Amino acid sequence: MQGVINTMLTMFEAVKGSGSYLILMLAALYILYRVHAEKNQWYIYYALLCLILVCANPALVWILSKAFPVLGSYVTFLPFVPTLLFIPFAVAELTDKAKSARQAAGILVLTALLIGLAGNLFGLYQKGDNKAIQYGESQAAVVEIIKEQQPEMVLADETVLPFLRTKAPETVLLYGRDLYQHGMDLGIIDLYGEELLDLYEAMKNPKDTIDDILSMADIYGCDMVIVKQFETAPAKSGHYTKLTDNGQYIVYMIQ
Amino acid sequence: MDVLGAVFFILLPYMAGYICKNILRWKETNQIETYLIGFFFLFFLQGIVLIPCVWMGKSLKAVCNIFYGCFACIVVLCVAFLIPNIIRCLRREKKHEFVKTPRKMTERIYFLAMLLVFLLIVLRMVLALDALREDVVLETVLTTVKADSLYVMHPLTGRAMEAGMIASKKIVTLPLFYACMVKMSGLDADVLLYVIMGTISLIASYYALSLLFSRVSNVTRSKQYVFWLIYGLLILSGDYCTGVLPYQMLYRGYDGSTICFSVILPYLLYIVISWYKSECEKEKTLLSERVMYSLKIMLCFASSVVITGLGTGFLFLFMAMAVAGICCLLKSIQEVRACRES
Repeated sequence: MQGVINTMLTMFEAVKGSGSYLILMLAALYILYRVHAEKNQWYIYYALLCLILVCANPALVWILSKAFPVLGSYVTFLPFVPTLLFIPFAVAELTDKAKSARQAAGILVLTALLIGLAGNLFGLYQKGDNKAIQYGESQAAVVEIIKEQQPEMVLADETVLPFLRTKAPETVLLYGRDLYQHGMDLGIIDLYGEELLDLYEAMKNPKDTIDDILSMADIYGCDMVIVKQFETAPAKSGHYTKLTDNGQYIVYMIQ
Repeated sequence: MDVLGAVFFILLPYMAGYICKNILRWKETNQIETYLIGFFFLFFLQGIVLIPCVWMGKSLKAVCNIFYGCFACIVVLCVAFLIPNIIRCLRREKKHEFVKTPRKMTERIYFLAMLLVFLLIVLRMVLALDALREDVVLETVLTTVKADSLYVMHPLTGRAMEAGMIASKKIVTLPLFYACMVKMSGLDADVLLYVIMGTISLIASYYALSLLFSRVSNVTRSKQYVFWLIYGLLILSGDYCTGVLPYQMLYRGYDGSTICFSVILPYLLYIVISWYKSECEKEKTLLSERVMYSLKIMLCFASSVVITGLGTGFLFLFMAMAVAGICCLLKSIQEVRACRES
């Protein structure tokens, strides 16, 4: 029961974060109800409303969470209902029934204002969770070094991992993001070993574990290691050399 | 060359749909639906080409050669069907004078506003190119192109997979199709995914939703333009939460789930409602019409399977059956009421 309540709360949090689109959608449904009074149109709305009721049904959430854990979340299931259809549908009907061009223009301007306030028009206000990450100078510098040195295998910090395979696709990594992002469902049967998990944990705090990191990287066959910058980073020791320090990352080469 | 490639891929769905329409003699299909049918047909085609190639361990180059042949056939067949139709249209114009209905000023304003919003969305996609997303699809495309192999290298590490992939994930061949498009056109992978495919999905979603809209309302040209305008505004202002459709359209238009929910699902609902209306309004629905609707539903199912997997495909099929079931139930209730009243 707690799981069902948590899932429903997640939906409402997501809807709240969505800038009140649910309110706009409900208003659109009401407008459609007033505009389309003919009985023979209602079967369409009944069918669509039933879909929404099915999606908002706690019992269905519970069943889905047992049968399909990934789909058990409302946020995942909401796209199955084409809710975006209602708002433009209602506005199109309203403008069609408008008595004059001025009235139609007023409806459109008001709708645009409401949508702009409810949403995040052209990214001006940066509301909500935006997954787009800017590609910074320090990350770009690391990519340039990799392209220059052409290492055979790289061990990289998790903050620079997402960039490497995208900006320098020839890079071969010791482990990918799927080591620590457990929600990814790539369908790949290969599993990472426990030692790599230990190495990943060590990479989070290179100041205390740099020697272990470098020796383990050498054992795995890496010839380049990229760690977060720290002050007491050794410049050279034995078979590894500090290649560069760009203020955010330190790059070591292993001979 | 890149621009030509981009234009070719944007027009390719219409060419494929035009061929399907002429071969299967679907005369009632309008231009919008032609584009959508071609869009789904291309996904279906990439599935039937790529799935056996993945299993046989073919290289990307070999698959690209197969696609060159397929696209060449599409172009040739399209031209072969187009020429007689053009000749027929020209002959008809000489016999009859077409009366062009004058467009109202308001229609023109709605159209221009709709076009402006559409172009702003595309501009937004272009401006967001530099923003990195943790994107497995892009990594898979780049890995496939680099390694010239299909689902052999791990996309996140660049090393060869030892145990491989599970079969249900291997049939999701959309990233491999994008890799073929990158190799064939020479476009950058991020431009192809984030701008070209984003634009194609956006156009297809506009079309699919307007078809559904046409089934639930009496649509005039003004209403359609207003519908598209408001839909575009919703997408443009939808950059607030990942997983929600406007965000998906802005940043992940190439993603299989985005295409499923913004294109396939509305089109599927449109087909089911059209079939239901056809059964209600006509005394006797022809077998050929029923076959046409069934084929379209199966095309939607097949497309969703190869772009997101079996789970979503079956869910869509069940949804279509559920909506059809609800409509039939309502019709039965209406008939019972009519009988009682008479």
